[in-house]
Amino acid sequence: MELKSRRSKAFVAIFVACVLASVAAASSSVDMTTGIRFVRPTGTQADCGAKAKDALNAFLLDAQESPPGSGEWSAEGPADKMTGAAVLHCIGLDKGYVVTLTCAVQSPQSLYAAAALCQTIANRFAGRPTQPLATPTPLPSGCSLTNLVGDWTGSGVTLHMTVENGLLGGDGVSGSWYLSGNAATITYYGDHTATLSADGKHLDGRDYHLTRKC
Amino acid sequence: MMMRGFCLALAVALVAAGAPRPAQAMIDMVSGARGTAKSAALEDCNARAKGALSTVLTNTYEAGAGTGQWAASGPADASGNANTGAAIHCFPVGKGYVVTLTCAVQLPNSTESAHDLCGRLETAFGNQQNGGIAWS
Repeated sequence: MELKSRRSKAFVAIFVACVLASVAAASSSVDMTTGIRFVRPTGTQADCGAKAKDALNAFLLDAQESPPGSGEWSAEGPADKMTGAAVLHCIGLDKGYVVTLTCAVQSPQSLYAAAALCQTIANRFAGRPTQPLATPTPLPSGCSLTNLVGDWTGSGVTLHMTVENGLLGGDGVSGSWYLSGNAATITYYGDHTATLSADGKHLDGRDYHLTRKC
Repeated sequence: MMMRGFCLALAVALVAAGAPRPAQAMIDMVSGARGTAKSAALEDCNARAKGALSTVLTNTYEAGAGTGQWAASGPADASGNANTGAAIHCFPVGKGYVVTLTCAVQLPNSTESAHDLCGRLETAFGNQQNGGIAWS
């Protein structure tokens, strides 16, 4: 009787942990930094605003001054995933202006740090050469053993799995994938477990037998 | 016994199928109010910036001694991740200074918006009665 009770408690604990894990938001933190401050002895706040807009739009999306005329410019991006943002404050002086820069990114989702974003925006603002920020890694062409990225077919379905752990079925329904060792969980019309083969090319489970194009 | 096991398995399957997927976190970043003190030393701004950030957040630091650029983050959640951050820039203008606030939070992890965070910082920094600071 006692054993049965212990089992029940253990089951409830595991069950609750699984439910909590499934609803938890992705683990990440805010990486924020202040960038370089420029003081220009000539020019107006409007000049500063034009440069701020250009610098933000070069690396982020849809730079806006809010409220108009305030000299406070902000933008978010990049386009494929909104994991970064920056704010430039243009402050008009009697002679010239000062501009301050603050950047924030989601870590580790962002491919670059807030400091790199601020440095690149500052370089663009100052008219200096800029290096491109890191871009998403190209889709692996091989059958990786560390992820499920690629196109899979079998069991009457076609699934496209992305580097962001996303999944898109041939019927337009989206889901996700997770891989721990060779144990895979595919969330597509419910959760399905499967085992990744040693060559990374096959997924075999109770519900799906899939082959990766690679 | 078998019936009970079947019901349990069914309940687990139903809950798992209906459970929400992990929320997609996003950055919420805003430029807060801009404060102007017509007659005050830059040191006053620095002290207020440090005090306001330390009151509202944690890990306050100046990005280079004497720069007047202050930042802070946190507090960290149970996973050790800081879901909030803010920066305060102090800059001397005339006989006083201009101070700007910038806030960022990660939603939905943060319980407050970046706008609300900047509002709390503004209150902690001071106002017309407490420091002669005009916010716009």
